[in-house]
Amino acid sequence: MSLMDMIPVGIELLRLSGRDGVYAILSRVFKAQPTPLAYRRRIRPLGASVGLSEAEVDEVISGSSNVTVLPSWLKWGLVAFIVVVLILSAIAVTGSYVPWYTNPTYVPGTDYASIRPKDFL
Amino acid sequence: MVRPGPGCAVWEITLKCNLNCMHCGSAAGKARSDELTTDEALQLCDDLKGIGCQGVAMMGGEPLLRKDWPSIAERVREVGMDLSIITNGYKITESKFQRIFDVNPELVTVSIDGGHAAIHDTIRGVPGSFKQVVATLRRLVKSGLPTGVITTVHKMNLGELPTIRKFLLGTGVAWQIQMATPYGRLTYDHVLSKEEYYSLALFIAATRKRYSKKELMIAGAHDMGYFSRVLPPLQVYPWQGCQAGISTLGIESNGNILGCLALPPEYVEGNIRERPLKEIWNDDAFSSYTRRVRRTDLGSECASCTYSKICKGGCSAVSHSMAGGLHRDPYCLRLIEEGLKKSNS
Ligand code: SF4
Ligand code: SF4
Repeated sequence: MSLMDMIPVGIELLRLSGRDGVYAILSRVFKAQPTPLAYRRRIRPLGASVGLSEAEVDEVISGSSNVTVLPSWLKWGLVAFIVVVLILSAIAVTGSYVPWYTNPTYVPGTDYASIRPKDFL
Repeated sequence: MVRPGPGCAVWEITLKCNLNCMHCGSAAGKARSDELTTDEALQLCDDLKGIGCQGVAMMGGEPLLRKDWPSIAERVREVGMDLSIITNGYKITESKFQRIFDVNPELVTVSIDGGHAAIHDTIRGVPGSFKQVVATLRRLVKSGLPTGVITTVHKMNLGELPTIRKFLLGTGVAWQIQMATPYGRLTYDHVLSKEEYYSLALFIAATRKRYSKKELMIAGAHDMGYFSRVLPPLQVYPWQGCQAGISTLGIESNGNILGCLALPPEYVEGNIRERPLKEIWNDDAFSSYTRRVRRTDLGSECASCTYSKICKGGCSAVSHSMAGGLHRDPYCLRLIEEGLKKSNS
């Protein structure tokens, strides 16, 4: 797997480590996929079967999906770009070292049976 | 080797149940003939604490039908573990409510599977069960106890979600949505197709987007979705692979131990009457299917997936039942999206 492939893995690791804000920005920019109209047309009936309007479906599948909507700071020049690339390379390297033998630490009481209102805070 | 304990042990304290749900993964009804005695159950609470377990989710069957459930619940609290109770909400008497309030669990969760009595009652196999669960939910919410609702989705109730949502809006409960898997009483023909599963994911994502947490706290179960290319995450906590035998542990009412209660009987790896829990949990061979996953264990699509090191091929229970083997979960949004794209071009 190439270093480029590891960028999304590195981004997910940011989320796993609780850096949700950074995760949201980076995933919006770098994990995003354009959703062509034909694909949206394919998805809309699936939403309709659970009572979602076309607009609701479009909104949910385009929320993190348009690579053309870059935050303005990213366009501010070469220097900023290089910094971002360097950071991402570091993330990618981290991503490529995710061990297969992981032993994550646990959040008590959450997840594996049911969620609590507290989990949403 | 001593391992960190599970974050949450899911404990079926009895298989006895007063409903007859078509999707019940353990085909509950009658109590097992060899269920743990009160003394054994209390000792198990201590042993769970002994392995470093941080919380217990008490379920069944219907856990509140076991006469000594308050003693077990109290012991869980006494030894310092979190407690949640998952009940079907059927025929909860006022004295049972009082016992629940006395024990003061972190969470009480009830199951609602339809927005209309006709659907819920048909799924749950007992007329009048919808009315009862609604009353239970209202009572719990009124008491101020943290309350959750679980909806288990299959072909019969996929279309019910908007009505259930309407009912839960503004109640302050946490709503967990999960897919029914073909274990116990649920037959394959009722399991959602992959496209229906995608509809379910769209519903969760759109609802999360449309409503604030104040209006409705909704999330997919921890094993829903994985790394969609288009949809935002469906869960509260990020997916990091099947946690059977890692941060969760399943206990059957007769003391059988398995990595996760969602798995079928062939995954039972010991019984506390024959071997101490500590030994089972710390055994290197226990739950090796999640604790030591290699790339060669993965199905071909998962093996070539960017996220395989984190995901390791999805939910073991879904993968086992729907793909005939582990680490190849076909109910992966990423894979389904690829299929949708292909069928579109
Ligand atoms: S393809 Fe397999 S490994 Fe990748 S996200 Fe889906 S289930 Fe997980
Ligand atoms: S088998 Fe499925 S439900 Fe059980 S811990 Fe693994 S992912 Fe979760």
